[in-house]
Amino acid sequence: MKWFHVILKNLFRNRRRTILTMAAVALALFIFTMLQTIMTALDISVAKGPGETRVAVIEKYGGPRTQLPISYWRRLVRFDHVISATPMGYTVTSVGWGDEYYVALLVDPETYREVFPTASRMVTGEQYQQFEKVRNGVLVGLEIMRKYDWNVGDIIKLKSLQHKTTMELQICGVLISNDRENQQFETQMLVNWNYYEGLIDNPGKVNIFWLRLDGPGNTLSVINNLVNYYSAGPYEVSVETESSMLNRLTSYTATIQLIIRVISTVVLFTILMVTVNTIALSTRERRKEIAVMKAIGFTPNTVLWMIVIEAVLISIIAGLIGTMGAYFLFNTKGLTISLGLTFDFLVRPSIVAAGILISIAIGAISGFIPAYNASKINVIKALHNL
Amino acid sequence: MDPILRIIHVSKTYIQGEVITPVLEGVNLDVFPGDYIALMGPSGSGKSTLLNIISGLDSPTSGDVIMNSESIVGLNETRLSRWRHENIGFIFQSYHLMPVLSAFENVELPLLLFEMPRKERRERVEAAMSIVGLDDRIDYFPRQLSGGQQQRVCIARAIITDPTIIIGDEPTGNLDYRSTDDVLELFDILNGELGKTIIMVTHDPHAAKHAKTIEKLEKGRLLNSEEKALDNTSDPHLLT
Repeated sequence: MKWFHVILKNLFRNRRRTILTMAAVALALFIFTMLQTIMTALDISVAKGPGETRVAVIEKYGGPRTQLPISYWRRLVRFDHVISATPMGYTVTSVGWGDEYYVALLVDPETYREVFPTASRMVTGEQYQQFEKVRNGVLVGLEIMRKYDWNVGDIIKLKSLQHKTTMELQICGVLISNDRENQQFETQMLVNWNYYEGLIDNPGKVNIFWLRLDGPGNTLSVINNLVNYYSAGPYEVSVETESSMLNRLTSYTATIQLIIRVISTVVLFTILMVTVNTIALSTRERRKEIAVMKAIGFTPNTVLWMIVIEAVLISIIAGLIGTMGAYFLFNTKGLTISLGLTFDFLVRPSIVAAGILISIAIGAISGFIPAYNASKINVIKALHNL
Repeated sequence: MDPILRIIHVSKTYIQGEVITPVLEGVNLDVFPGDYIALMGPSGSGKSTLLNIISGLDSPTSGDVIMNSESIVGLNETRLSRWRHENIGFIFQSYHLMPVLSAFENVELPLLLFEMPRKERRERVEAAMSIVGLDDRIDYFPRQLSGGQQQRVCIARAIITDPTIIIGDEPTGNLDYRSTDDVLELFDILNGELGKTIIMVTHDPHAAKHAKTIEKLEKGRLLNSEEKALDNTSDPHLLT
């Protein structure tokens, strides 16, 4: 392409306008990359495999936010097909008053291991024993350990945002995921439920009871039995399988994803209009030059391609800045948001690739209409007279 | 000697709604290699329209335009573009140089459409810039050049592809007296020494005086030899 330098010179004939357009496209692609990353993170979180041998017992009307009495625990394990039961709560915590928030699951170490054997195997046996032994013990996800440069045995302070209290905890072990399904634990913490109950002076209340059943075939009968049994009590319960809980989260995240899709579409469409306008303005300004080029032998197709390539160059440079900017920002500084579960936002190369492809498409589409019009310029009219 | 360009009974009529405006009526003209023709005539006589038709920028309503035995009437836009690239060199009244390109790059522009090595392009551009006397301004941008210099760059761009015909539309119309003489001298060199065929539209009798032939248009018609004989402006040697 011998006339590439001509395209480059035209590209920067009005530097301010080109740079502002590039900045707008870069910002749009940055937002797009960020939104797509959030959407992917939500997809990963809800894609974690459900286990039909686990059910959650929660208060019927208020869900996990309304607490059930601890006395239910002893009764729950006596139901047929229930192997074990464990209480679970959660609190959103921060390290100091920083801007990073993490979910701390409040668990009973002894029974938690029985109901969630996979999760408890994420630390060494020795570390888990220590967690059972130390009342203010905590198991911390590997990513958090790395981030704050903590070591096993360290005493750390975590602030609970719900109860405005500070926990002083001893790190007993590090949660290291060996598979993708449990990766979320690397950004979470397990805190002894008993310790937290005592700290907030709220003994005897539980958000969720998790039950482990002897097999998936009995799940429905267990659910029916539990619902019937507690229907006459002071706290009616709702029982959901783990997959059902995840489905609920899925519908929650599906709404977020829909919003994200709408915002992404609006952002990209808006930037498409901005780019169309810029390229149209730019070609209108040089109608005479384009007419001269056509007069001296540039074919309509050559003129069309020159302008389309110019538009693609603007958008691809901006696209690279926007998507790579998001990539380096999130993947080096990191972004963690808690939405009940903790989401880690890492920009995947596939999202960067998608962003760059979209930027090419924006350039091609936005450049085509002005380029087509330019290629059809009537030389005589454009020059008034030859 | 065969003509390189034949305008055969060319008419052009513009129709806007119910208004029909005949601009050219049955124009015939043969152009031979080495001709230097000045097209003159009052405003609205059809000079520019004839020039547009000769250069393939406009098409006649009837008649034919034949260059080197090939009719250009009815060619599509792409083929016309290629035809112009190979056969026509344009010199515009307002120069129409690309402001973002240097003089070198402006002159090089038509060569970019050829499969030509960079070295050869450079040599040809330097040669053309030397002919127009601007070899020391090769890297200047149009804004850094005077009007006369810009017109000379325009001339260099017009001759760079060695076209069959050089078309000039009021090439001295925007120039001062001294620059006009410089450009006209250049035309004399192009025609007299380099054998280029030139067709130039002008209102300026002084410019027309440099041409070998003057063709005069009136009301869309070229004056014939008898009418020319009665009109002393058709003989360059009688112009004052």
